[in-house]
Amino acid sequence: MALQLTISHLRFRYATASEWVLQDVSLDLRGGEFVVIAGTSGAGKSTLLNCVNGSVVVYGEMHGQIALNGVALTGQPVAQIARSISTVAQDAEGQIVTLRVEDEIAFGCENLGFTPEAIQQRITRSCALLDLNPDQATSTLSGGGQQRLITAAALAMGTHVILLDEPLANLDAVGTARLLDTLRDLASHGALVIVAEHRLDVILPYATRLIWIEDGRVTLDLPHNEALRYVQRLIRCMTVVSVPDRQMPLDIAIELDSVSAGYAAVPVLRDITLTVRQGEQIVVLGENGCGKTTLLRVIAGLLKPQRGRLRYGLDRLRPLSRRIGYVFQSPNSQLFMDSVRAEIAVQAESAELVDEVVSLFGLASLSDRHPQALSTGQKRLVAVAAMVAMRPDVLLLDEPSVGQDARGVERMLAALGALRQKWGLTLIVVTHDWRCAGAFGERVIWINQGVIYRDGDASMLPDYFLRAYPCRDEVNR
Amino acid sequence: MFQRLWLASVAQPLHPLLSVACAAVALTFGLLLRDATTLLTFVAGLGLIFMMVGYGVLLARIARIVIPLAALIGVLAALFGGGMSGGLMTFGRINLLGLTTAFAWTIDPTQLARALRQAGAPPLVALSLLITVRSIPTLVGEAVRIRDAMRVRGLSLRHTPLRILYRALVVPLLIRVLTLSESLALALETRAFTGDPCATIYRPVALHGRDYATLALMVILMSGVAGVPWLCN
Amino acid sequence: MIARLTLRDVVFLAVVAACLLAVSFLVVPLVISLPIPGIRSLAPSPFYGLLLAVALLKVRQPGTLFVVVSLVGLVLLMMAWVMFAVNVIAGALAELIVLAVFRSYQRNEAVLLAAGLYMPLTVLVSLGIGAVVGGPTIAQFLMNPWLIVPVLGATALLSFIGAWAGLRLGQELRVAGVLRA
Repeated sequence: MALQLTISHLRFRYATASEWVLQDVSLDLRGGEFVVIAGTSGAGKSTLLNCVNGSVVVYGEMHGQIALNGVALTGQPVAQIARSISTVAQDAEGQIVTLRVEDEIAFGCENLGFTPEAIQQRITRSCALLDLNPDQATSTLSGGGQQRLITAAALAMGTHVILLDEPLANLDAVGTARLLDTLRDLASHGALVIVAEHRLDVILPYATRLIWIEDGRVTLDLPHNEALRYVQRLIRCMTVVSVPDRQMPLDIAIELDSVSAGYAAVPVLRDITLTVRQGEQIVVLGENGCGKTTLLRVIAGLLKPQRGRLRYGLDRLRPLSRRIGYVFQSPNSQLFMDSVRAEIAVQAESAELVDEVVSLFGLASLSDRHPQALSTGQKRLVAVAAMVAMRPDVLLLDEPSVGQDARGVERMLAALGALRQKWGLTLIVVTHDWRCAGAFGERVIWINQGVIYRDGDASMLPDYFLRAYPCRDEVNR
Repeated sequence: MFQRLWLASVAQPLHPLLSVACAAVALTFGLLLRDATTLLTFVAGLGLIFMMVGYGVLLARIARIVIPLAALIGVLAALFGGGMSGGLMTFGRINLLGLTTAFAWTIDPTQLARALRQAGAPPLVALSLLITVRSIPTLVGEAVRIRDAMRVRGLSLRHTPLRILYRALVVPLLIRVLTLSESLALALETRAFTGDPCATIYRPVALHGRDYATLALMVILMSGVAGVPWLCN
Repeated sequence: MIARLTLRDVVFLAVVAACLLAVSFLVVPLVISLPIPGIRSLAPSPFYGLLLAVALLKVRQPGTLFVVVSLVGLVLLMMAWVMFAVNVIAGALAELIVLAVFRSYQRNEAVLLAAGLYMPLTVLVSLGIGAVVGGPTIAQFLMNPWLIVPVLGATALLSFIGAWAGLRLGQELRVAGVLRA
């Protein structure tokens, strides 16, 4: 029963681009493995998964062979491949097709022709594993619930190969542990589990193999222990940031005094007291659902605190939208003009600032392109640039490194650093990515279950990113 | 979305396709009736069937809105030249409309989709109904995000030129429609959907005694209403 | 005819229908209190024109418009079956008229006409159904030209403006590579 997935000399390029996203990938994956695919660029990991399940082939040019147990997959229609390989893609909300949890889980099984009794069993099992209520309406699920649902729907199909693309999005600590336990269990029973994920700090303790893709090639292929050690080293190295010598911090930009905020009777954020000074660079860490995004929304004025006071110490003559800039996690909602330059200019303070921002962010070559035609990383850069062109005093960034390669993050960092020198731009960044946290983190705030757990400097970062790791002895064995 | 409130009042709804059929037939039949007395008898009969089938509470809720409205329009019609009979006809017809709508209110989209598949409709048809209903909350959510994005960008009715404001509203929504449909289509394929009518139906909708009873009662009512005047002549 | 719609096309049209419904649910309650007759058709008209135009640009087939509005109608069926009838009839009429004039949706003018014509047709069909159901007196009341012409005219105007905007936006997105036909 040795399951084998062979990828030979895979090359892939999208029709709209000229570079090869995957240049020469060869992998030999077996049943029983829990493989994590990582890499700095957003595109390569997802593209690899989508080549395996056949869904990306129509969008570009693919060379090479992919075979499952000797049978070639290349050329088969997606629905046919899906009978042996199930996929959990990104955008959980966009994959839910039905109106009830049980129907969603049943859907794949129906297509595979299982009997209603078999389907019933699978639904019960999946719901128990992933903590779902079969009668619940899908529209009432939280983000984490949606993620668990689409995973349950894929797992219920009972295929021996399971592909997951960023499955930890929106999952809190409990949900994450449940999911990873389930996946490890599946692998130990002979399934091949392949996960594309950037949150290596969380997932590697469960995985059996780490594959790193850089510039379209496999640059690393490590088994469990070595992978853990490698990433631990990475985390320790990247999170040592030298605090630049600046003068004493300046005036108070934002002050929260015992603020509680949320969307229902029980607030998500409880009793937050925080002072942000002008020119500070803050990284906010915490599990999904702990209140990080709620904090940003309160600061941006999108959500009124249920209790407590919020004060802004900035130029009161300017409207709040100009004092505080907020770039959402998904840049699509904030981009709407027909060229990058026009987008940045929409609410820009002046034409000179537009020019300056365009050159600072390295967007000159893209300035006539339509924002929607850009890659996710580029879109995010444009969204940040457009917000910055409003000359805010405080800039809030929600997961700015997702979909960005190392160069994109560096460019953003350089641009924002320059603006900080110029007009004392204050930065508050929410992130799960240790590279991003290391790059931006002078002050680090760790939020846990709605309260500020720790508030310190960059020396806190290794503690946060290594907390999921088994104890040192086990790793060094 | 609004249905949730109404559905709650009907513990055991009828088979969805039967509901549709009854509504259509009752309406057509009722519209063909020529005089006010027969029409009103028919409407009253329908109301009785409702109560017997367990839709009593729903009936009460609808009656509270529809009867006064029908009375108002009926009076207007009478005053504007219809006379007593014209007014009563209109009253009867509006009530009929309201009653047949009640049949519609008890239909649950999931049940309707399953019933359609059982009836032999292509799975894609049933699925597209589900996808549409399923996507409404997602798109409403996107609209909320767009509103937030506009606030954060300082765009407002008062200060922003219309062509920019309209773009800020419409473009992200369109993009979400496009990304959502691609994502959903992919999800269908990766769950092995091929439109094959032989795929299992997990929870088929069954016809219960209630459904047969309703059908029988409807037939009796309609033949009674149609037959009696004929017999009397 | 409808067999030429692929899986992706049908899913896209279903989501467009959802968007139309979402917009109506959001917009109509905002304006329902305004004492303008026909406001329920007037308010969503530009969005209908816009979204239908974009849908037709992406899926240039006969039946596209019909599928979208029928799906909208099918959902509304579960609230008020009249809307289903109105949508289906108006949708079929719009398609027939446009196909009679242009034979296919290859030309942008056909897209514009179809997308713009739909909402005014729903007004007419609603009036027609209202007249049939309400009886002769109501029919007389409804067929008042002082009532019909302004409502119809305003709906048509908003609808065509929306359709024209949708056409432009759709072409812009197609050039950007986002709207894959």
